[in-house]
Amino acid sequence: MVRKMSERIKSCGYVPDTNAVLQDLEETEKEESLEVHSERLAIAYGLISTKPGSPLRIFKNLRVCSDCHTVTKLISKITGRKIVMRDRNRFHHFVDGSCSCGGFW
Amino acid sequence: MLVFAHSHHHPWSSISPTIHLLGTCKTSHDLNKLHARLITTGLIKNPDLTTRIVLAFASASSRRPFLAEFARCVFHEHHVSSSGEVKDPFLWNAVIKSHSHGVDPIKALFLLCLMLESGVPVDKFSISLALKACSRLGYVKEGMQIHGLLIKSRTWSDLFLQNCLIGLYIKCGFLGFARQVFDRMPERDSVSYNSMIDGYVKCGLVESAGELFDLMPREKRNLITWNSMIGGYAQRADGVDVAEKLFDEMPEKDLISWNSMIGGYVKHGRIEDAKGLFNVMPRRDVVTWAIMIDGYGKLGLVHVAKTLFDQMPHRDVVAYNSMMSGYVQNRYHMEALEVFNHMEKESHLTPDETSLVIVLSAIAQLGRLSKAIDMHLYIVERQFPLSGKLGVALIDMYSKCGSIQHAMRVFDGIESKSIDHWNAMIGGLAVHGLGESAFDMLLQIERRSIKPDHITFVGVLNACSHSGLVKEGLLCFELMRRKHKIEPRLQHYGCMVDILARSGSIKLAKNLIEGMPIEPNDVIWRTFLTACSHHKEFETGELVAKHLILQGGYNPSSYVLLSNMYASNGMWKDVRRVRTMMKEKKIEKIPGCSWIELDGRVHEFLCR
Repeated sequence: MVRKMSERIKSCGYVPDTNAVLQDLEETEKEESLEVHSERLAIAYGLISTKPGSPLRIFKNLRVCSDCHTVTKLISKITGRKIVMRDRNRFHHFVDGSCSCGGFW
Repeated sequence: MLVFAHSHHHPWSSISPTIHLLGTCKTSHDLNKLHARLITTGLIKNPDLTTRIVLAFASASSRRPFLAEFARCVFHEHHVSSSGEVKDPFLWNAVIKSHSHGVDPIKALFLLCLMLESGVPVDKFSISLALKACSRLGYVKEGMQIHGLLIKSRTWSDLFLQNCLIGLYIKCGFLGFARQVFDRMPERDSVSYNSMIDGYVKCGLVESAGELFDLMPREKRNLITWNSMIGGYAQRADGVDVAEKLFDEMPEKDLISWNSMIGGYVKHGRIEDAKGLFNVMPRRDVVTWAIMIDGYGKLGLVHVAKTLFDQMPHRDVVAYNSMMSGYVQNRYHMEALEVFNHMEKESHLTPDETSLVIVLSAIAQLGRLSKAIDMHLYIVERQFPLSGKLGVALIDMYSKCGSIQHAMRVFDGIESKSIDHWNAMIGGLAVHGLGESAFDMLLQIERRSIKPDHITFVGVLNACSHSGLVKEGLLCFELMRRKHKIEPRLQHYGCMVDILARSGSIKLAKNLIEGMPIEPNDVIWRTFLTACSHHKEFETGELVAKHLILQGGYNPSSYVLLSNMYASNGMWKDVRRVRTMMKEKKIEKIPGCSWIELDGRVHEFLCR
């Protein structure tokens, strides 16, 4: 499912922001490490376990990284679902490709 | 009332059956009917009857206040206004007592005045009752007037009355006066000493209490004396050893002595000593167990607390609350919820407001909306009032579970909102990014002339920083300082730095930090650092980060932020350097963890 997600968002023009990865790795390795950030796993699980179109509620214990933020925006647009994410600082409401935080988080 | 119709002789031709009948009245309606009958038959004019009515019913229990009212009414009608009667204070005292121990103590004082004006001799019982009324009301000036009256009378040196005076002055907080009375007493008893000692202890003047304790003759010391002293010393960190000595010296101990000593040990972290006493106690009560569970919880030893909790023979609500609180303080939220479920199912105990507040805060941290809705329903079904802490906890819980709509609904539904409710709502709006609404709430607070406190402003500033409302943020800051004269604290400065920094005014943020009257803490510096790295102010950022690390901080965020900055500039050698530093100092980056709630179950994902 995670793979499928990656393919679909790439086809919409997503480029992984590997700057968000703080480790000295090769580009592809960095991409892979981004793919398994915990919030993406949670979203993937949510997508397969719930009815299409229903909102998803995810909670994260740290501040969401900029790449996952972008990705989640895209996912909300592609799947047409509302994603509510609570990170350490605040709530993000992702609807149809944009986030309620407006880039401030 | 069928009795009237069927009896062959009037019950009210003799006094005792009348009194008995009056005593059986269950409502004021019944009483009024009887009273009417007594008036029409003229029996009410019988002074023996009225005397006995007053004596029997003046101190009637609060469940049947109409009886006391009746007695007082009879008294005023037939004893106060009649002239030529033997002036007997006994009857007056009965009615005074019904006031001094009843709902409206000030009427006792009025009655005393009336007594004096009517020339009825005042005796020591009248004075002691009046002093009791003053104690309950906290009226020291009136108490002093009665004191004056006492000095002029013959019974001024009566021990009981002197003790009443001491009690009054201590209750009203005038320890100096109490001590003067104490010093001038021709003789003193245990009660006199104990009242003074207790008064000193409650005001924190433990040394004065100690002096008096040493002066006290040995044979007058009783359990209460020793317990007061131990309780007083055990509250202070430097006094625990003194309390210990006293505890060992005391001729006999009771449950309160043991509990006070254990409580003192626990309060100052000496859990081993507390456990020692706990093990050798002859008998324990629920308070003992609760102190121990709470103590272990506060030290982070939740598992020991749980073991103790499971061993406890008869748990009460306080024990459950202590256990849940211990879990929540140490972030074991799921376990706290389990304990709550256990409370109802296994022990059949009814949770109180404290239990609910603890559970709500656990759910808030977990973010489980379904559980939140269940708990809300539970609270509504059992009709717990939302006007206090419970309402605040409910609003906060819904906010943290992601449903600002539910929070708003609860907020609107509370009739008498306090500033705490407003603060909780503003806080909720802040984390949902609804900065304008939060700011609007502040304006509403101003319009209704409610007094905001520093927490209100933290909430609004936080909201502005999350929504990028720079103008509103600055306005809020000025409002706080200029209009409400609230001195900004670290959190306020932190939010202001955040607001300025996020909008790119790095220089202004730096000026603010440097101009702060209080020492900026590492949170503020880190906020600044994040902004620097975000806005690519590399040099400033590096300086700040190095400063933070030099300060010897063990917070992983500073290191991560620094390595972030190096990474975003492609400076991999420096990234490795920072990472090595972290490893050397054994600072670990907190692993990212996300969870999602589906169908009432939580699924967690960890990322390493």
